[in-house]
Order: sequence, then structure tokens, then C-alpha cells
Amino acid sequence: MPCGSTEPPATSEPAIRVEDLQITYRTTSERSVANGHRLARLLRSKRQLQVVEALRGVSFEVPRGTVLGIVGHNGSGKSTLLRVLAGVLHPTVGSVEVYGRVTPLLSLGVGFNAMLSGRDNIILGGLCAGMSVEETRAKSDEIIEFSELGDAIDRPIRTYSNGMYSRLGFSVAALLEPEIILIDEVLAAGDAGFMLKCAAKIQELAAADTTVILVSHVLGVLRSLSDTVMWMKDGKVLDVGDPYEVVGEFMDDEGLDRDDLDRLDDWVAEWARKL
Amino acid sequence: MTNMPPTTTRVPTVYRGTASRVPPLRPYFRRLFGARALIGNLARTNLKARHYDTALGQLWLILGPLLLAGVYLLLRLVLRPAGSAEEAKAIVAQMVMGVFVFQFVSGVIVGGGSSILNNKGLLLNSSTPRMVYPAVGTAEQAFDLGTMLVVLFAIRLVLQQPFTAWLLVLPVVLVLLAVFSFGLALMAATAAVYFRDTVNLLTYVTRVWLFVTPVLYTVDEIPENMRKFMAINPLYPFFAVLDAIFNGVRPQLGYLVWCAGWAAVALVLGLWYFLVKERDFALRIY
Ligand SMILES: Nc1ncnc2c1ncn2[C@@H]1O[C@H](COP(=O)(O)OP(=O)(O)O)[C@@H](O)[C@H]1O
Ligand SMILES: [Mg+2]
Repeated sequence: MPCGSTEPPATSEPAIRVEDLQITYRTTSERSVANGHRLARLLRSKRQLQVVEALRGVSFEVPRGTVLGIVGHNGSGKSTLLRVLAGVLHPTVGSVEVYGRVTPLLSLGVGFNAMLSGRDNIILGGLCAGMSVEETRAKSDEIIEFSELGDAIDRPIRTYSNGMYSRLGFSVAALLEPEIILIDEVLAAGDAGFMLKCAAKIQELAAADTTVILVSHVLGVLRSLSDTVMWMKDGKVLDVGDPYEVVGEFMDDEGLDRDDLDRLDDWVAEWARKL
Repeated sequence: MTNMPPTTTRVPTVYRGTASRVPPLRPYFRRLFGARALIGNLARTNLKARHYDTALGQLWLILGPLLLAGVYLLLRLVLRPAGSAEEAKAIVAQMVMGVFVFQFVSGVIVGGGSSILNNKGLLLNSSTPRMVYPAVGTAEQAFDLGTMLVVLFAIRLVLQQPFTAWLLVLPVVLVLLAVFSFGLALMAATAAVYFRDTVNLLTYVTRVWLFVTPVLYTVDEIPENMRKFMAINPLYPFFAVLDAIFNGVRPQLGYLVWCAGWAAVALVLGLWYFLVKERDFALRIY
């Protein structure tokens, strides 16, 4: 199978086209202990530059209205890829074409503003997506209802659990009527009931011609929701193709038993409930 | 390079690996203008959140600068007592004005310095033009300054200070000053992404800047032989003009030209540095 490229049917319109995408992070790590004079720290911070090649030549295409699942080990570059598609990161090398409105990301760990309430974060999400305040307000009731967060919606999101957080993230992303929706691991943190609700929503969106990019470690759900699955490793695409086949290859590589998948899913769901 | 995410699916948003170049300006500023609701919303929520948990709450907005002006005033009057009650009143009015305006300048610059790092969550999750964040800080400071100007005019009324037609020049000077400060804020914001110590340093730099600017003393009090050195300070013409118009004296046109010049230089340099580096921000913060 050719590495890192799908051949979409000639008639289908592309939603996303990525060519030779490379992303290199540069971070200056600073000592956790603030030692030394200010000036000395200033000079030192410049020296401790860390270079991480998170994506190393990724190419693929996603036809409109399809669900692309992405699997890969932690650190393989999945979140980085989604950030590029969302327009957050710009390619170090290569090009990305995105056809249509993308939702802002609400990946685990980084909200928009942790000090603000869930409700205010929904407004921020809408505004970031280019909607007006009125449009977002009109949508927010629906989003809040879908998230089932209840009274917690008016609490600052820094008080949220991972599960509550993912509820908010998915609801914002799914209900802002995007043409392309990016979902990064938010499925695993919610409870089983919410995960099923999300799965149903994803199918509904895809049926309505929304393109879905789905990153999840809940391999069973990912496998059944996706039209195509892409396997990433060390910043490269190892394979793209039939969901069952590619997920299987990924599991082989991870040293997992393919038949264990159902049990693994149970385990992940159990683990997620404890979060 | 980065266009507004289109509503029609025909024209793609294209991101390409182009290192260190200024993006096409027209689409950029169209997107920035499109984000004005976001800027307003962020500024409003920040203003609401400030001093939220203190007993005196929003009152600190006025109390803070007033107390600061009070401290400097005390210092000044102890070091150099006023000759008469009239002179003392003039000094009070002049210094309160200077401290309020300087607070705006330093607030915009220091706030700009932390604006990118403080909005990490938003920055890592959306493709909004990054200039939104220093712009929000500037908008907040402008709101504060507006409030303080009301307080200032009340104080001047009580102290029976002159109100002349020259005050009509005030908006012009303040707009130029805001442009100047915003330009520096853009530079500070960019620099802080690369050197995290920038914000720490800025608080000291602005403090020193205060002492070499005619805020705590008047232009007239500067010895003649020192004045040409003072004139290289970009804030000098701004405060010279402010001094004049508040005292009901015609401001020197030359100073106003200098103000416009410094504002233009700061804005162009700030825009250039920010726009060249902007696409690199998300790769550098974590
Ligand atoms: N902001 C960042 N700064 C520096 N390195 C990063 C940053 N984000 C991710 N990385 C690194 O890039 C690689 C890919 O990370 P990521 O895209 O988050 O992987 P995944 O989502 O597949 O777990 C990892 O090695 C990670 O450490
Ligand atoms: Mg990830």
C-alpha cells in the first residue's frame, strides 16, 4: 500500500488536502527552579532550545463528507496534525488546503480560558469560529443541553473534570455547524453513555456532508465510525485505508492482540469512567 | 496566505510553509476586523474578571492610579515644597494627569508583553489573527484611561485649573500615544514569546522610563542643558504637548510632529516584527 496517500474516487470533492507537511516545534525549556540573576536566566534561556520534529512529511487527502479516523502511539503527531488543520500551527514545510469552515479545537488540557465559565467559553468558541455573538448565543442553549453539564455550565472550567471537559469540547465542536470537525481524544474521557451519544452525532454529521477527523484510542468505536483510518507513527503516515485492516496493523505493531479489541475497549471505557 | 475560512467550499484556506515573511496585509486586516466581536468580548470579560475577588472590587480601577499618583505627589512635595497654594494646586493637577497617562502607556506595553502567553488556551485552539490579543489589552487600557480622564477632569474642576480650547487637541495626542504604545506592545508581545523574561524586564524598564519622562516634574523644571538629552525620549514630546494643553498654552507644532513620527515608527516596526513572527508563536508556546 502506498504510504501516506489515499486515492479518493475521482468524482468526490476534497475537504482537506495535505502535501509533504512538516512541523518542527522549537521550545526553550526553562529550569523549574528560578536560580541565578535575571540577566543570567535571560542568556541561558536562549541556549536551551529544544527542537521536536513532530510531523515529518505527511501527505493525504480527505474527501468531503467522510470520517477519517487517526490512530497512533502517544506522541506520534496526531494532535499536531489537527492543530495544523485548525489553522493554529502553520506548516514549517509543505502545504495544507482546507475546504470549508473548521471548528476551533477544544482538545483535552487546553480550554479557551480556564478562568471563565463553560457558558462564556462556548461564546468564545463561537466567536473564534467566526460567528457573531447573537448566532453563538442562539446556539449556546443547544450546546449546553447536548453537553448535559447542568449547573456546572456556570462554573469556571478550571473546576471541570476531564470528562466534563470533553463533554463541553465535543458539544461546542459538533453543534457550531462546521463543515469540517476535528475531534481529538475527547471521546475517551466521557462516560460510556456520552460516548455513544457522540458516536451517533458523528454519524449524523457525516451523513449531512460534514467531514470528520477523529482521533481516538477507543479503537472499537473509531473502527466502526470511520470510513478510512490513518495510522501515524513518529510523525509519519504508515498506512491509510480500510478501518479494520489499518487498526489491525496498528494493533500488531503495538503488540496488541486483534481479538483483544473488545476487551480493550471495555478496559478504556472503565478507565475513562474513573477519571 | 491565510484567508478567512470561506463559507463556500470552493475556495480553500491554504496554509503553506513560508518562512519569515509578512503575510498579505489586506486579508490579514480583514480577518482582524472580522474578529472585533471577539476583541470586545475578551476585553469585557477581562474587565469584569479584574478585581473580582477583592472587597473594593471595581473601585480599584480608580483607586489604584489615584493612590499611585498620591504616593508620587507626596514624594515630590516633600522633596521640593511648593511656594504657594496656587502652585501646589497646579502641581497636583499636572502630576495626576501625568501619572494617569503614563499608567496607560506602561499598561499597554507590559500588558502587550504578556498578552500572547496569557492567552495560550485561545491561541492553541483557534486560528484567529494573533494581533487580537495585544489589541484586547490595549482596548482594556483605553477603557481604564477613559475612566481616569473623568476623574482627572473632576479633580481639575475642584482645584480650579484652567479649561481652555487647547484641550480639543487632547484626543489627537491620546490617539497618537495609543498608536505609539500599541506598536511597542506588539514588539513586547513578540519578544516575550522568544525571551520569557521580557515581561519581568519590562516592568522595570517602564519604571525607569517614568523617571526620565516629565511626569513627576514639568518640562520647565528640566535644566536647559539637559533638555536636548531628554528630547531623545519618545515620550518627551507627548508629555510636553499634554503639559501645554492642560495649562492652556498653545502646544508647539514641532512636538506634535514628533508625536506623529514616533507613533508611525513604533507602529510600523511593531507590525512588521509581529506579523513576521506571528505564525511561529504556536510552535513556541506550550
Ligand atoms: N507545544 C509543543 N512544543 C514542543 N513539542 C511538542 C508540543 N506539542 C507536542 N510536542 C511534541 O510533538 C510530538 C507529537 O505530539 P502530539 O502531536 O501531541 O502527539 P499525539 O497527539 O499523537 O500524542 C511529541 O513528541 C510531543 O512531545
Ligand atoms: Mg494528542
